[in-house]
Amino acid sequence: MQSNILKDLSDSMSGHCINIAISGISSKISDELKIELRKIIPNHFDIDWINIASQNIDLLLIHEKFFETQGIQQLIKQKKILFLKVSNEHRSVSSILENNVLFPPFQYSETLKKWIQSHLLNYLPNQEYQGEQLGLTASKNETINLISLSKTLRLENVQLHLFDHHGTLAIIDTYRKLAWIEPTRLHTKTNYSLNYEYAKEIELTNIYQKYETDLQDWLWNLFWYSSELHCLDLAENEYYKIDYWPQPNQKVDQKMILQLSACFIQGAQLSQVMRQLKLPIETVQKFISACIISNNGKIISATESRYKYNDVPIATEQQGFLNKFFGKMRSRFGL
Amino acid sequence: MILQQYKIVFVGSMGAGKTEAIKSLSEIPVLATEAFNTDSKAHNKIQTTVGIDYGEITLDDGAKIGLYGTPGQARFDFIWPLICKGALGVIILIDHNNEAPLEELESYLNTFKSYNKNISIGITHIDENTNHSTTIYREWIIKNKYAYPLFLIDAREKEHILLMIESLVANLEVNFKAMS
Amino acid sequence: MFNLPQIDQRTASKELVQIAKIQANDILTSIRGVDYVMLCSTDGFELASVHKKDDYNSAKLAAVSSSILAMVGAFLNEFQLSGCQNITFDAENGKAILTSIPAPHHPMVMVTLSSKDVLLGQLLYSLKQASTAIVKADTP
Repeated sequence: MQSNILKDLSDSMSGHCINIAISGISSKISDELKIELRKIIPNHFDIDWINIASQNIDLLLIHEKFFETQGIQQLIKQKKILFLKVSNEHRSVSSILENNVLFPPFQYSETLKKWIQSHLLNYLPNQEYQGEQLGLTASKNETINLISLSKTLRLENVQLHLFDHHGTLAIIDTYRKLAWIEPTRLHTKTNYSLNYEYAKEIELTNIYQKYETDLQDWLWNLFWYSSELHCLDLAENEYYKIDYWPQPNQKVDQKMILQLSACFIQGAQLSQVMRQLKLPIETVQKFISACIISNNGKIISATESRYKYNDVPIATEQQGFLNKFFGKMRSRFGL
Repeated sequence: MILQQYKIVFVGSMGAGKTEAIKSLSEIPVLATEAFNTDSKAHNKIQTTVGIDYGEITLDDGAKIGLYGTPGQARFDFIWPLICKGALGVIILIDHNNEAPLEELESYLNTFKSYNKNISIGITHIDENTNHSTTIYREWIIKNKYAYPLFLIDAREKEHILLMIESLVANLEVNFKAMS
Repeated sequence: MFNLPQIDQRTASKELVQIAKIQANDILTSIRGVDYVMLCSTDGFELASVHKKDDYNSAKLAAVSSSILAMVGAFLNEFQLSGCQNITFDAENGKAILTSIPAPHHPMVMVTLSSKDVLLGQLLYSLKQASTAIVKADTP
């Protein structure tokens, strides 16, 4: 489920969406191709993975054995669609030959990158990312990577290797919703150097050596506790609803996280939550960012939100009593 | 809402760890009402709670919070409404190792939500049964659009029980303030 | 050395239950005013019952009785009083007595319901005798 913020963010920068159809290819290879294309195509272009029967195809990826069929030939000639044939035959490096045939492996394919640039991107409206125009700098690049990662994580059947400049963080499987964490990085933080790639066979074989955990919980905690990772800039007046309470894996910030969860599980406006809990907007945005990355919830409309903040000051005996009581509970429990 | 009874109630399936959870927190030796378990089909353990376990924590000003543990089996259901009355909240513990943990959870939730609105759910023994995935609980929460906090925990770990109590407190604070 | 009972021996054997039932029946028939005698395990399962009146939900009574006895036992512990033997409830229209039967392998509870004018002393004595007999039957 795409969150609107991701779509809006992309659209506001490019106004252009690339429609790519993949046909006749296994879902595993298809997912590999999607990851590579997402990495190659700049993030200010949104990608829609569409059906071959759809109207506006910008690029068609078709298995080479189906290329000569009547239906495909007709489609390509009539609509003059840009296409790439995909082969099963592994080569030592990925390459594209004259007849538009792409051979696996697909990762780090310079030839694919060049081909996409020359055959596809050069023909799209020139809307290079204007960081200065949006008044943002390096942090926005990280946000773009986060959007790219977020979209990849929503693919239903991929195995990824997540790493940063310290090395491997984890191997993850979006189908089984599990993460295998590098044992030396169990409660790690990460930063701008966070990156990902398709997991290799050898890495998947060695997961038993790592610490297995729930993928969504791990992602959430990684993004919350990594203070150097900047968050997605959700506007204050936006409303968000989470699907479940994230489980913090450290005691630090636990109270804050649970209070934020108690608000957003009902669907709430960021500014109202910020006021009730007396937190800076950046903290609330960080919470929502971590939820978006871990695919927990979505932006909602005001009518869908259930949380109501009453900003009339209450000076009743009960409120005073409750505050005192909670304070003592926390202090006693060390919360 | 005036809080007069400082109590937190632990309910849930037999063997889920209710008595253990209270023992991990209580600063007094837990008053346990256990008897010899003759129903080995339901659970293999030797002892089972048949009355109300009682543990306690004292706040700085001398106010006490009672931690009440209840028997999980349906034949003791007469105890449940009595003990939940006026509680700060209810913690439901479910043993992931049971045959049908999700059905059990549903059953306890349907029963206890009529006794107390403030509920937090803990799934225990998650390492013992790798045949059932633990993702079933989150999927169930999402499918039913429930707002209850649900965590995977070890009932013997004080930190995990505190996480659950903290979620009850957070819910109360946010909703009480919002209501007021 | 303490030997844990085998799993399949946790429930009282048919023979033991039969002996206990005979004891219960003796009380029902020999003491005027007794209407109902039920035996249950300490974890709240009914084992046997004998009655003149059939108004009671035995399964529920078994659970409630075991709870009460367990809670009272825990309560008495606080006063360093151990081995709770009997609890007598004196109501306006009758009496209920819970008797603990500390059989070594299959501890039980006997629940007796009687009219208000039952000879309590006689009843308590008979309950004690019955308890002793059942404990003896469960002792190898």
